[in-house]
Amino acid sequence: MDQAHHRLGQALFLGGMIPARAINELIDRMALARPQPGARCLLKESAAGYSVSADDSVPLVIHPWNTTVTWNAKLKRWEGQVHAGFIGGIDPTVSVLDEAKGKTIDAGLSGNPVIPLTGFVDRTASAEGGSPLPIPQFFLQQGAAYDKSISIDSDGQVSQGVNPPGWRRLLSLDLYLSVARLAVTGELSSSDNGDGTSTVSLHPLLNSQAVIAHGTRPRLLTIGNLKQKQEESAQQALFATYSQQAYQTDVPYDELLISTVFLLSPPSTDPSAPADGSWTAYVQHSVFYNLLYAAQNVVISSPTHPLNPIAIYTGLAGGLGDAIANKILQPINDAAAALQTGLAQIAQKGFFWTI
Amino acid sequence: MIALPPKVQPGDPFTAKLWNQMRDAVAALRPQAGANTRILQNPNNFVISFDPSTLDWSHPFRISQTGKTFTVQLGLINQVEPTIQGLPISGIDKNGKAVVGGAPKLTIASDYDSEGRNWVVLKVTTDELGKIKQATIIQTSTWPQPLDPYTGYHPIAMFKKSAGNAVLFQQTYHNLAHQWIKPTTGLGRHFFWAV
Repeated sequence: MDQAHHRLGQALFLGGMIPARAINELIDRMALARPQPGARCLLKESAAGYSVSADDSVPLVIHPWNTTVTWNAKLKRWEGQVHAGFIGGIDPTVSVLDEAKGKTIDAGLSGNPVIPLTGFVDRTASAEGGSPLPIPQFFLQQGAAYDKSISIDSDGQVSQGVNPPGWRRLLSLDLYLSVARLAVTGELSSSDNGDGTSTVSLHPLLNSQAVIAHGTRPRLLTIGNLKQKQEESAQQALFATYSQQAYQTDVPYDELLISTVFLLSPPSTDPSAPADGSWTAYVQHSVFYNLLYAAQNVVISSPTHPLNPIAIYTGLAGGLGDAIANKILQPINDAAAALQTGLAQIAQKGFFWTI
Repeated sequence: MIALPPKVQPGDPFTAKLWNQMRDAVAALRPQAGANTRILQNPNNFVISFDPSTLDWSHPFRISQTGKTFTVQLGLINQVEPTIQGLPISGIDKNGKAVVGGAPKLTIASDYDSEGRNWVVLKVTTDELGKIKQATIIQTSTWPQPLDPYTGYHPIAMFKKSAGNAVLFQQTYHNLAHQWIKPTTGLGRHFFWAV
């Protein structure tokens, strides 16, 4: 028996009976056992082995509005969760699909709802296409750049180009707060002063439609780019007001950017490839504390006590209309300034501040 | 401790047993994630990540929960120390002496609104000139609506009922300033801000 064992052992000398497959398996197991440092991990290697320690030099701060983004492989979509923040003690709502009820409901943020992230804007869309959104320096250094695979010249001619090696696509989405409020609207009227001049006035009214539709509870919403939505000059506002014979441009809500979610593609990505789980998500936070909010003015009006009219132009009859039609800046700017001064006393625009 | 194969001498045979011992030893080197640690196994390595401890920030008005009761760390509003049931929240009276029983405690309320919310609120009462007469910390399951010009409310924290537990959401992290804007119409407005 012992001799038989001995013979078996003899027969298993290295190079004799150990197959390459078994040796490769051992090497694979060695490869698996090699450590790499991940998040907040410090690793020191030496000939004698390695040491692993946690890097606690920067403690984790989970602040109000802390936004995390994950890829849902089952539903094949990006989803976000926002650590509850509060405005005046109240957590905002988020529109989410209640699968049990089969409809969209407004869920309080303190319930930690999952927010589907859709409607991203392409930051790297062809620059010739007029993409006004800048690519942050951080992502430029990661390889994001305007897409040059297709370009359109000033004559509308389309030509194909080549993106640099390792080119990466960048998408972004803003999460923002919206609080519905009263909006100042009104109608313009022109009165003859009897001396060849006329006065154009705005008769302001308070529009409560947004408050009726959404209530005063803040909502957390998403949009491709909030800043683009908000940009509107006083001149444009007046033009719109005058041309429509009504003051239309006071938006019935106040908004505040909470965070921006960026999705960065893998290097050398196809420009038409969808943003799936192979992309990397980054979050840029804009707010770190809870908030208070108040409207600018407390104004009480009623049909029997209307708001005082705001005179925005006095001059030759038809002067303001002619100035707008001919884009003569001075009377337009003077009228816009008068309108803003008058609205400052009744405007309902609110302000957020941190606590 | 992971068992290692026995050391060999020159001329020793490389047996199946020795091979299996080596194989088992290498297999046993695979790491397992412990507390606050994550291991991501890749074909060519494994990645170790640590979930860090969260920042332990001892800030004004911090709620410290012990079981079903909580205390509120000292915070000031216009340099006034609020009270809980008539006792200063620090548990130190104006003469610098500890009050009997220590810092006053509140019991987490059992009533919640329809969304399972209950607030810890700073209630401020002023005189006709806006000077704070009284600052008290109370609980409410309905966000309070001011009924008189001289009373204002500010959120300190919120408890959210979740799976039978009361989950704390701290809302105020700083000392506060307060200004009452005398009403031209209505009740006037109480403004609070961090200092």
